[in-house]
Amino acid sequence: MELSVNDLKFGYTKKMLVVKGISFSAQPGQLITLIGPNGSGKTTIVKCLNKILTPTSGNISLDGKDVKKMTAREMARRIAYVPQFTNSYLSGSVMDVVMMGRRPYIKWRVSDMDVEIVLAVLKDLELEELAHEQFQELSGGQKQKILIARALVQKPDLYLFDEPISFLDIKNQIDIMELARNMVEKENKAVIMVIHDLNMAMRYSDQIILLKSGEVEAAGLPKAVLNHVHIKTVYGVDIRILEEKYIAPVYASAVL
Amino acid sequence: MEQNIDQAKLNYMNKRSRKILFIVFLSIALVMTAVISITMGASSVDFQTVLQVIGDVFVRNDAITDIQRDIVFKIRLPRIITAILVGMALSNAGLLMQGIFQNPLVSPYTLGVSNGAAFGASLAIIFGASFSFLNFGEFLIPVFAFGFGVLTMFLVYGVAKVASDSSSTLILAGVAIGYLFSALVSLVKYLSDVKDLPELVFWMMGSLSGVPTVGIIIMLIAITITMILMMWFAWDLNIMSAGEETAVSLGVNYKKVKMMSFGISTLLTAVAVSFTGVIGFIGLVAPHVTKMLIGNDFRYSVPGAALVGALLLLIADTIGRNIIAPTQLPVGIVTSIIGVPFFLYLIVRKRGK
Repeated sequence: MELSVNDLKFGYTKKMLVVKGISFSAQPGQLITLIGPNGSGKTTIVKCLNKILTPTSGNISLDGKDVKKMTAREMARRIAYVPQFTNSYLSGSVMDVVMMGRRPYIKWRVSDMDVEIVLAVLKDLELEELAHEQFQELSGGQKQKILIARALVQKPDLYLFDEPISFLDIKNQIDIMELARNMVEKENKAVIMVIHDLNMAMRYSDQIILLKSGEVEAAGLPKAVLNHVHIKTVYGVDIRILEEKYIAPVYASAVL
Repeated sequence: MEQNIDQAKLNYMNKRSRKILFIVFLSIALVMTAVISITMGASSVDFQTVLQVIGDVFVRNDAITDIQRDIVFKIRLPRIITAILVGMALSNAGLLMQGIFQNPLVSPYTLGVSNGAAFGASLAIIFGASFSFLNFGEFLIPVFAFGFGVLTMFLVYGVAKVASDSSSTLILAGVAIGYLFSALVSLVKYLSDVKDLPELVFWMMGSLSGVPTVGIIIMLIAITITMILMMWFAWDLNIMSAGEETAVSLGVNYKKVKMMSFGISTLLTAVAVSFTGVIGFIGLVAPHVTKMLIGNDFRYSVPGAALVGALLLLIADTIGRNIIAPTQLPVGIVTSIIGVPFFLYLIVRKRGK
């Protein structure tokens, strides 16, 4: 699987572009994080990749095939989207919610195989105890994990995460990031994640794309992207980079 | 661990079986209620007589009088079938709207379809003579009500499309245009002759009596087609309840299914309202009762809501026909008076759990 994005532009009106010509690619075994201030176009890019939004211009292809020519079902088998749990209006049991991820494969009847896949994923994530609980009654961390479980049962090649850890405590943040890392390392999947926490981005990413006002300010290896100069340019904040051996896992802290 | 998975799988399957059992139970309850209802009314026709009247169709029974035949076949049976069909139509329309809008307060009437239909009916009732050139005869009111109901939906959808195409805009446009038609109905009332007013007021309270056979057949066709469509798209509808982004990312053609849902909901509402007038409450509450009983999965809630809607409306109408017989209470009044406390009880019970 190779995702290729070329000169992607998006605007809600033709004159006001939110994304102004972004290009990058993603391969299996790669975790790419999109970082940048609010309004820099991170979430918009992810929504364009998933056809939730239609780009104004540019090209997105999966293994050389233009995603515009792919059916909704075909897309859902290749790309899974994990929204933020706070944006979920879901009701029903955890099983019902995770089973939705099998939609690209289910015609009408849920097969034994579908049930087994869902239960196996819940077991892998150590969530099988919650299978018959109501989704809306879970904690934020549990909800986010359930949404990841739903993406996992889609069996895609590429996962798109939209700010999965923004409202979670540190334990749940690490759990989610470890999960994403596992998908990349053990299952050789590609993950593209929108994230605000620079420390987590530094620690878990293979590549970082730093955005400013809909354009790429810097892209590449974490250490090359997250430096004083780039952060000052994009966020207008002075930071101090700390070595991991002193304070783990915190790398960067703002100088106030 | 393997045992845990087997147990969880078994639990999931059991839940599914329970839902199917519930649907079977509701079907039996509906048949039994229909049987009881047919024996109840101002004229006493007991169960044995009903059986004899039905048997008379196959083997002539001289003990059956024409009056008994008319009570069963021309009055009670059409009314019971109408109650069942209208209950099904309004309940499924409500289920669909609540799902698509992710809003429990939405009913089939939220988008103003009933107000539009009421305006159409008021024109037909008050100015009927002026439209005699159309030659619609006894169908003038239903045709006008249906036509204006559907027109309202197009108006609401058109305004929302120009504005932002979001669900909240659609609801706001629906409520606003609904008010406009409501004001127009008042205007027609104000300008009308006093002798025509009772018919309009009566129409607006809703009544299940006197629906022509053609009307029943039209409702039956509309419900059959729309239920097949809703069942066919059940998975898409399940996922659309989770919002547009989730639906698109899981492979649902959101815009197509949303348009289809509005079409279905409008058709069901307009067909029901045009023959029976505005019957409130069922379209709002029957879907909730269904979801409390068998959950949100459209594969089960579509037949479930149809049965619950039919059952509630049939019970309400049977009570309305009998409680102060020979006077018959309009069914819309009964549905609200009996249904609201029942619904409140269910909400309190659910919270208690």
